[in-house]
Amino acid sequence: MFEVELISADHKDVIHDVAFDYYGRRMATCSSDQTVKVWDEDEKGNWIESSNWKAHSGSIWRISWAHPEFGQVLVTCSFDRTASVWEEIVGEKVASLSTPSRRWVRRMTLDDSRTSVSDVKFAPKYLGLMLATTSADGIIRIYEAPDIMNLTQWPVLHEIANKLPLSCISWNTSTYMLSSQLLAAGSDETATHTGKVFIFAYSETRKWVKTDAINEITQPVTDLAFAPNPGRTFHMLAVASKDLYIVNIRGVTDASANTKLDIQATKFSDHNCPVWRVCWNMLATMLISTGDDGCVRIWRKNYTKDWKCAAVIKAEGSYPSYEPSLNSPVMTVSAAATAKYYKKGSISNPNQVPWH
Amino acid sequence: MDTRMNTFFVSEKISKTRWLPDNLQASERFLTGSWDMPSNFVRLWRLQQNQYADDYNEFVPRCSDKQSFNSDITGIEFVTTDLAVVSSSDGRITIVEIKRAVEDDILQQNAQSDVLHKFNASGDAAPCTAVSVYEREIATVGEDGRLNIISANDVNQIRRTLEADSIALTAVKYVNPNEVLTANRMGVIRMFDTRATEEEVAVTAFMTSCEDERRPNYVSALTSHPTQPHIVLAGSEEGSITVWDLRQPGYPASYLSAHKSAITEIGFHHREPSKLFTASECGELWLWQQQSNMSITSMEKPVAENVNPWLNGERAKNRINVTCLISNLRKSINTFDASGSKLICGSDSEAIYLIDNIY
Amino acid sequence: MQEDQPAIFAVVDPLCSRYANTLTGQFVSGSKIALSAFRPITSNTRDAPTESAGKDDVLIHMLQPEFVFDDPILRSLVAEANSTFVALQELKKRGSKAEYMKISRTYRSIIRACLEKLQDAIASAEEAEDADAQAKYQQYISIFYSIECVWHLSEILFLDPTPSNAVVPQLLDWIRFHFPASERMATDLLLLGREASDNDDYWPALKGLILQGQVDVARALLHLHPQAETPHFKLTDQILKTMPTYSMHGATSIQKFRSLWQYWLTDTERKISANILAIEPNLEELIQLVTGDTQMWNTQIQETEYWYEFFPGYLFYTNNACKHFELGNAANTWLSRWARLKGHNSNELQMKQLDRVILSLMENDMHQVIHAIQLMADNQWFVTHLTDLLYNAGQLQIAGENQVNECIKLRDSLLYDFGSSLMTRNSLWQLGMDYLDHCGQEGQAALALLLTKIPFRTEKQALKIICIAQKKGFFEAEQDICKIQSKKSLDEQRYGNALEWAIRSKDTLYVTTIADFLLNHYSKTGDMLCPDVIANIGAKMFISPRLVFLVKYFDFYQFYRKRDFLPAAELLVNLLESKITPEYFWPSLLIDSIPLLESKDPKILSKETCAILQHLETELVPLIDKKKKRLEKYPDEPINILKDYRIENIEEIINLLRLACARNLSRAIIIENTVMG
Repeated sequence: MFEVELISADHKDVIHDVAFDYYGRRMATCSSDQTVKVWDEDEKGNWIESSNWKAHSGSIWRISWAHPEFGQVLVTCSFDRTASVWEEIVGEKVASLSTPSRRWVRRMTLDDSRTSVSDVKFAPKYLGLMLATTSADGIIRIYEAPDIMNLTQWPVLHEIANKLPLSCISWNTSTYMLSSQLLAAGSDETATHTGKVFIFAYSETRKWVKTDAINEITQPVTDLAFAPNPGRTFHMLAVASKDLYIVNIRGVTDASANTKLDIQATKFSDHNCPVWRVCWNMLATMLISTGDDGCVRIWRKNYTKDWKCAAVIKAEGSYPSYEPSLNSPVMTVSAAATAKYYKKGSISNPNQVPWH
Repeated sequence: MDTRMNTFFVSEKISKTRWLPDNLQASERFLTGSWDMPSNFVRLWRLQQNQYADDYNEFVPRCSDKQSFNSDITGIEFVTTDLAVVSSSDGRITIVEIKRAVEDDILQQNAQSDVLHKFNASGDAAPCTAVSVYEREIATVGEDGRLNIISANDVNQIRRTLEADSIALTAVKYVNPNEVLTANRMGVIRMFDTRATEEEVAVTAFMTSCEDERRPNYVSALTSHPTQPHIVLAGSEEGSITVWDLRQPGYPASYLSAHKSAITEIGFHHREPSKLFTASECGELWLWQQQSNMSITSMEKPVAENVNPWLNGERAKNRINVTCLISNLRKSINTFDASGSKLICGSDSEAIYLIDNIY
Repeated sequence: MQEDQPAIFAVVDPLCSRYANTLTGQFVSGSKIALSAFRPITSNTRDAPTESAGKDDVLIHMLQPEFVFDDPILRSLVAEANSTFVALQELKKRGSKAEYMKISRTYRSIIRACLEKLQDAIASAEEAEDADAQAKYQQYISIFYSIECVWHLSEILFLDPTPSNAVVPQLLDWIRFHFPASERMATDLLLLGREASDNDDYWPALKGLILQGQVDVARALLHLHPQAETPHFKLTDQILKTMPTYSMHGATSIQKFRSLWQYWLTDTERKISANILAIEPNLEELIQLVTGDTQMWNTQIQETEYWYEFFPGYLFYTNNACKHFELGNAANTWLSRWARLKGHNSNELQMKQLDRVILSLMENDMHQVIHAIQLMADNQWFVTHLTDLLYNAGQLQIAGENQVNECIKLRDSLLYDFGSSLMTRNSLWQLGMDYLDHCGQEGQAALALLLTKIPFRTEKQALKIICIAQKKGFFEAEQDICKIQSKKSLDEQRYGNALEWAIRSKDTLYVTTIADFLLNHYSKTGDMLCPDVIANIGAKMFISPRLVFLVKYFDFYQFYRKRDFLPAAELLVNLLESKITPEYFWPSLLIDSIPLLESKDPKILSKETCAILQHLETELVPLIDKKKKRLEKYPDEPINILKDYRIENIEEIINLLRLACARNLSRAIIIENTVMG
């Protein structure tokens, strides 16, 4: 049914973000215990912790990997009002016989924010080594390292102020069939009932301009993500709010040759509870959404281009106390015999594979 | 020539294959090494008569034994008839021994070296990219640009190590007991004296020719003529063959454009030096057959008749016939070996191909 | 069609269910996901250790759907089928029916060969007493057996409906293949000759043959009976021989056939009621079956496990001319009968998946069939290849309007999913590529992306992927891989390697960055890194002006070290005059010229000396002034006033240089004038 591997993360507190590198072979986790851990997958598929350090003086909210053409680079953002850029270097040999170690060093602290930095994301690689941060006071800052060989210089390129506090940000992954690069930010403000998702475009005047707000989404937004776009004519943005939204964005040219965006949002209420996080797979054919009800839902687009929930994975507190009867659950025991995964509900065919 | 080709799917991508050397008769045993698999193996195969007489595969290979490796196999060469050295991408070499039996042969691992190739800064192991053997001496090259000379009797003792290059080396070949050629990813071939110490630098270096000078062109395969080892042939990234006479290494003797993609292996038939084979990434395997000398009424002077056609530069193609044995396999043919009337090759299509009657 | 409910899975993680935590997930790569406990936060959340800190283990669960093709036996199936797939695409939808049938049979023979290997594997697992392996292979056998069974029937009913639409002969073929016991028994018995009838299997074999419509073989077996010449045997033989079958070549019309059949049937029934065969009850049984006797058939039905086992045989004897479009109804009628006799209430009938699919096939409901086979645990191999085959043969039909488009979309999306799932299971990427090649623009784009995502471990593999990207024209993918390799080499301090990869990437900015680094390093330390690489760059240097400068400077450096001063000087002056000298390198260049200027016999002629002076005054001096001003303005900014390893103070250089130029000029002028004079 499933291949399963259980990793004991050994963080002292709950993990706030897990990020994988370009190849899915390195994992970085950050937590309320103010540390970052980096893990590597070996040839056998085992994940081994390779680094672990205290990165901030407050809870670390988010972490992001840069594209490998810039080397092994991470950025973290934290409640302590800073974001930090880290680079892995090959350490100096301590003694002539021992092998040099790899360690992560802090290259830069971005401390322009006056409030907690809620999200940080690297820009797509064709923009260079660039990142954007959002703060709880609603300011988006965009930084760039002009010299990729020297990661200690990160001048601020742009500051975009917003009235509402911002919780998340996402870069569009391509400019295919669009006239400019897009950035989306979401706010988790609860008081007002205005649109909570804002779209910014990089205009020809080399400034970021707010072009749209998605007014259908009025509930607080806690996460959003542009989908990777290998060759699609339209762009997708997933938004985690009181419900899950998948927004299709197209660039259109109107009669007077002005380009603007055509935005269509579709709501999915399957969770029946607030949605906290969204994550796309590498070809944007599947999406995971995190619900407040202890479940994640996996969405698939079928060949008619409709999104349907294909599977639900729920967290249980402990192992089941009943014996499974013949017709229903199929128990599968993983190699690490501590976790058991079982399937219940719907069809009893043991040959059934969830995402089809 | 009525060649027949048989295909056997083996569920592994094969990176290297070699017939077991058999002095008396045509060999029926061969080794294969795999790459990029969840577990890589060196397997010992034996050709057996097919039980189903009406099938048109006369021989069917059966795997007698295997040894597992945790990294890609990058080279297999025989030291003696029963000992082979295997190089792998974890930077080590391993000596394997074949114990022949009536029923099931056995393949066992005799010795494994330490990590021979390392990147200096991090100390990580660097892949060993190729291996060449002369009697009981083994030369290995790796991505770290190092050349190591090791004795087959004790693989843990490196006799010589030379920092040959600052970029990755892709091929190595002994041309005589004391001299070794290495080739790198820029297309530069250097000749080293194996008795030299670290301080002494290579004497000779030359570079492959290229159709378009602005494009990079690595050397992907290296070989020398079996009876005239001063003749060296290199296969390159663009699919061409450059030939040098080591007595005059300053300029190439011939340049032949051949395949449309990188040549993965180039080699002469062990006993028939008039036959050269080349295999390429786009799935082709060609036979280059030297034509027999003309009769005495030929216009060429007797001296010229003795010149190996490979050195004939522009006119080389006049005296060599090219036959396409396999074309359009769509997946790379990574390796081949010719012995007796049979040729075996391994491919990324996860199959091995046996061609018979190549005489 | 019922609304598909999503499948529900559970994961044990105590931390998730405490204190308002929930579960969150990310995609790792391909379809692997990582799950962990999550604490919802908003911008107002106060930063404090959570209540759960230190209480429960923080776990990360990595989940990945099982991939059957990791097993070597099944893997060779994928590899072999892959070449058939490509051969099929090459027909470009213009092949003949026979060609498509041949491809279908090739696929099936590949599956059958695989089943045989699986059987062998079970046998050796039994010997080795490996219960897990046995169970695993048993499961694979049941999956692929079903696949072959369904494929065979699809070949008959979907791929090649016979011209006159009569399906019974082929159905018989199909059932004989899948329930071969009787035929095997018969083959053995036929070899026994006259002793066949003594064998216990004799009558069961005969019955089985009749049930599968193998009339001729049954007759042959009957002839072996010692009593074959007796009247009842002869009668049986005659009845069997004269049974009319609907032959498509005979051009007999249905009505004519039906009347022939009726005539024969009445005649036979008469003979049965005349009790001629009562002597040998076995024979009577056979003939009753042949006449479609309800009682007799009901008895047989009760002994079957599979509803369709005797269905084709029954059709053979009761509706020999059954047409394709009649099959659905006939099958349903038969199924209800079977269910009733087996004691199932047809409303509650829980059919196994395979049974259901076969029913849908007979009902000609292609859409349902495709939907059902998607659920098989073969990672979509079957549905992808079958749909693709039907599509290519022009036989794909699914529900909905706009047929052609829907078919293309379905087939393309299946190929896309299968190809990308192969590509994300590392080591099968080379086979996966072919599928993505044939599903349109989106497939190509996905291929370009997925090629860059392959985690290669050696340079050889990287070069292979680059070769593939090149051939397909994926320039960005090629460039990406080269840049990643270059950066990896830089991190390892392997500068020559990094430079070569950067040159391969053809990215001017990247090459310039590295060339800058090398030049900077030289000007700070006097150490020329990777000289052997720079020496061999050749024509490739034109990618970046900085690289050209580096190569040319290196040439100068080589001449100088070999004490070949004249060409060195010439080159130096060229460099000075060219516009490609980077700002930070001026001091080095000028310092290099000092020894040449100071030598007794002038290496640098007067004109060139003037040029140097000019460069000095017009370029370097203003540059230094500018930097000094900036330093005054921003005292904190780290401004590098052009350091060189050879000298501390730039002012000193300038003075030395002016002096050297002056002296050289004087010497040069004298000599030049003397020579001229």
